[in-house]
Amino acid sequence: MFRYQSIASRVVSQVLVVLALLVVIVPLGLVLKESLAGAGWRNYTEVLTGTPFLRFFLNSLIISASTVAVVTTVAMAAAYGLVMLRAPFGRTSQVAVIAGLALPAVALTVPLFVTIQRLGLFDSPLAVIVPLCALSVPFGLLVGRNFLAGIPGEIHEAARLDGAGTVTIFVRVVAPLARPIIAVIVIFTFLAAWNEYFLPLLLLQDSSAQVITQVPTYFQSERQVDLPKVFAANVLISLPIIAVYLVLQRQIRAGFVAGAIK
Amino acid sequence: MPVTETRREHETAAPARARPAGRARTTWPRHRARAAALLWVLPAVILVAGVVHVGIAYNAAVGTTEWNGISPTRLPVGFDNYVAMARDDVFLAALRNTAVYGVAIIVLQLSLGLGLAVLVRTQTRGRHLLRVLVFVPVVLSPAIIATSARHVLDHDGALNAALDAIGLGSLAQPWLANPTTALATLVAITVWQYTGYSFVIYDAAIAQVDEATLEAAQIDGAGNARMFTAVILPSLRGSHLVLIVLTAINALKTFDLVILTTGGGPGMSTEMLTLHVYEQTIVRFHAGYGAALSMVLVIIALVFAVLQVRLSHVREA
Amino acid sequence: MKVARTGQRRLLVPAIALALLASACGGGSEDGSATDAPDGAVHLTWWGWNVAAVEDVVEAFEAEHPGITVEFRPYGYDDYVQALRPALTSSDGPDVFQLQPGGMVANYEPLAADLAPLLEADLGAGWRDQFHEEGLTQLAVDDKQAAMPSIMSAAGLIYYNQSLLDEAGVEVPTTFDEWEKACAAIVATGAQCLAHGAKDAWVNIDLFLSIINSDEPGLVYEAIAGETAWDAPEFVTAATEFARLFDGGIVAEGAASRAEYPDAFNAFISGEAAFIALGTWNTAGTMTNTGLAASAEGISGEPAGPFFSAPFPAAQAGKEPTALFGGPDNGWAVSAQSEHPDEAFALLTFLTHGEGQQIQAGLANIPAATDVDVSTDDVVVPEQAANIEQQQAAVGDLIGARQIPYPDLEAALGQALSSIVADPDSAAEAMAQVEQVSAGLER
Repeated sequence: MFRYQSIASRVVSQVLVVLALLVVIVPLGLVLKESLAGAGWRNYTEVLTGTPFLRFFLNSLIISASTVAVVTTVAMAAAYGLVMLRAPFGRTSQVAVIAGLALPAVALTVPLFVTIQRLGLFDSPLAVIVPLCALSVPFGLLVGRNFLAGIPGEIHEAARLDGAGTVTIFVRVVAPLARPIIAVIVIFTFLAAWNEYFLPLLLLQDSSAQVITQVPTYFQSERQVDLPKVFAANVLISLPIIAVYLVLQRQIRAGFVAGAIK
Repeated sequence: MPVTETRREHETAAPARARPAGRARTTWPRHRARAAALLWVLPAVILVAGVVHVGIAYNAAVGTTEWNGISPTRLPVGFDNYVAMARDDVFLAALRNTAVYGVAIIVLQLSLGLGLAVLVRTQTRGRHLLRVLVFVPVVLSPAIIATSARHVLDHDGALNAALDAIGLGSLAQPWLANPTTALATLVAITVWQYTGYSFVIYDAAIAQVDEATLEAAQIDGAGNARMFTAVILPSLRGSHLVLIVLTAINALKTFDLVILTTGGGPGMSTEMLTLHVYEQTIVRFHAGYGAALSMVLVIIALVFAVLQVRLSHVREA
Repeated sequence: MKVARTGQRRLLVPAIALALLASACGGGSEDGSATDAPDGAVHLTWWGWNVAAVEDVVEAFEAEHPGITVEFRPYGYDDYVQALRPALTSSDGPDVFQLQPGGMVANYEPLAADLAPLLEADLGAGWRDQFHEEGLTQLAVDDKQAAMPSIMSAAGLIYYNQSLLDEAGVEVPTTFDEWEKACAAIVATGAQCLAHGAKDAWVNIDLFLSIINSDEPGLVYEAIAGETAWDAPEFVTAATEFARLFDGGIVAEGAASRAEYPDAFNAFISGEAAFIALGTWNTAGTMTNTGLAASAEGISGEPAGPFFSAPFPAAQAGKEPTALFGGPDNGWAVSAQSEHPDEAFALLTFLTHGEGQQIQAGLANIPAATDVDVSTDDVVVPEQAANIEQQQAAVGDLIGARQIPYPDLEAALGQALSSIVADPDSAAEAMAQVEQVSAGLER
């Protein structure tokens, strides 16, 4: 896009890019600097060796991957049902799902605890996965629905006239078309699940079942905070999410491949 | 004008226009098809209802009682908790602050996010790096952002030192500790952190614009500005609506950053709705009132949700 | 109760659907019942947000009680208070848990076992004499002993950095006038004077209590009890004196966005600030080698010092500085839901009048059991030993509590002090707001 720019507009956009880079990089640099304060890179090695980092990393990975799989499937299916199959109660269910997003976490603590307990899920990874899914599905549904609404209906119609069933259309036609938005849903669901701090603490009793967001707490107590190591821990925690983004943003940019279908 | 023509075609090409094949058939199978469509939506609805709406029902019930959150008995008080809000100065301040904060971050995050999504499509150096780095703040934990902000924006922090160095020392001040600048400073921190969020959504939406349409426009001699206003912008309406709703909800739920930087102060200058819910429910043992406050958040979000759904259906119809 | 029942029924349908969905999601649920270890030993869960040397404590307890294993779950305070509520009302909660004196004791008391009969059976009819009286009363509701004190702590002190005072050529101030002069000299050397995290309501309340307890000793406790008005002249004066700390050059500008921990505390430990207004809980982290080394983890570099404590200066010339105010730093309670009440009580015994007290005293925390002396073996400089012993003696003679037992009143005072920090001229108006809340309180 914008392959042909005048010199003036090129200069302006270059200045803006540099400016934006500075605004982002300088504070990030300060975060990195703080994470290296005192013991330098040893802050990082101590985070890795002085805590159950690997164990928590794997726990987080299991929880986040399951959440992403469920949310992406469930949300895209719902978006498909609402947009292309014109499911009844579409507006109502959409409004209900979105409004629920605003319930503050504090207000959810007690009912969630009771629900999870009654389901007999307490202390199993599902105790965390199920609510995480429920909290991320609305986002997925919202952006997924919006994206599918932009896909020409003829594509769906053509596949239908070819005699394909709804499942086949969803898997073979819609999902490939929706790759950019699926990538977006995966990224943000992974982000939410990976950064979740309180739910595992509330719903998993076993301390070895805890997740990676607990790592920084090894360096802070009520009255003492080892800031450089807390920062180092948080930098390490962020890396996997950035990696996921790096891998998937190619998909986001893949763009609309309508031509490829025909 | 071919440009406008393509645009109209694009706009009308929304899914509902997939003429129901059943029109020719009897109505019965069509009903069945729609009922079958419900099955696609059901898992999402069950999941959200089972967790979130159970929580809302619980809060609606608790919100009509006086209860410390612990005792086995709750005193039914009807709508007294809601009536009491009108006289609750902290609630009113929180409502006002949350509204100001919400409007500010919606405007700024959307315009900057869109700006960046366009900027990374220009022929500039560093655009690939920008695309990656703009997302990095989004993934950082609020604890890190808040701690850094407290240091950088402190009276003798890095920002004031920088202002001093470039001769703007008169602007220097304790940004988060000054009641007149605290809320604006929180807006700035939030926008810095979460512009990457709207960037990613816009990025995906712009990528959806048909390459062929753009090429056609270019061949027709449409300039970049014209291409942006005539082709790209119209295709983003749905994304604006989605982002307005999501950002508004994020504003309603803002908690960690505020509690870790200002704690709602100085005075009540950065008091927010979720802070008030937390304080009433947990710190002051008014679980009933806290639940009623939570319902206010849900109701505000409901308004946004209805608007979003209505407007996006208007667009598609 | 009608409310609760409707809630249950509403849960049922979505709950079943969710269960189906959940099992469809895959991933087996492991059996998580950790209550009984396989070898028949009793397993206790112990929750808290603040206990020093917890590994040593658990190790010593398990050595003393071979049939019991203990898992301590550390929480941040905010997470703790949120997680405790649902957990304690269910069977998945801790056996032993931590309580803060004040509103937390008043509200959680029904979920805690009454310890008085157990203590009487254990220690005899005179059991109360073995503890600091304030340590017991602030953790009791009427006759029920809901929790037992872990350690004692009291505020009404300033800690100071002797080197910075020497460098500025000033003595430890005893009045606000002296303090302002000392601060001017200290700031002239490039250091900050009083490190203070005014973002946190509790430190502002500590300062206010330090001032009013010097101005009019004991009057504030009448106001807490509702017998004196919060907007009486004495209180407005004290609030104005509180404001003076901020606009008289004692607290550095911008305090309202600083946290006491770690911002203010780190500034003090690293030698950037000369004073900090904290209480005896600060002694271990400033005056002992072990504690100071731990405190220094948070700063990049060597800790400053040596540090000493002194009474919080009197706001008014001619008045005595405040006596210490405080009580139990926090307490241990046994859950009424505990499946192992005997073993849980054994842990509580160990913590509050057994070897657990020796461990705390060894760290220079002030024991709650009166027959245990605080240790001064690990002090950084020998002069600190006398300072620590003075603190222990003063804790035996407190003027009153640190916490206000009514959360609404405590919040109102915190809010008022925060608005005074924002606008020092609003003292009278702010105290009138506090009185409004106080007058409407059911005590």
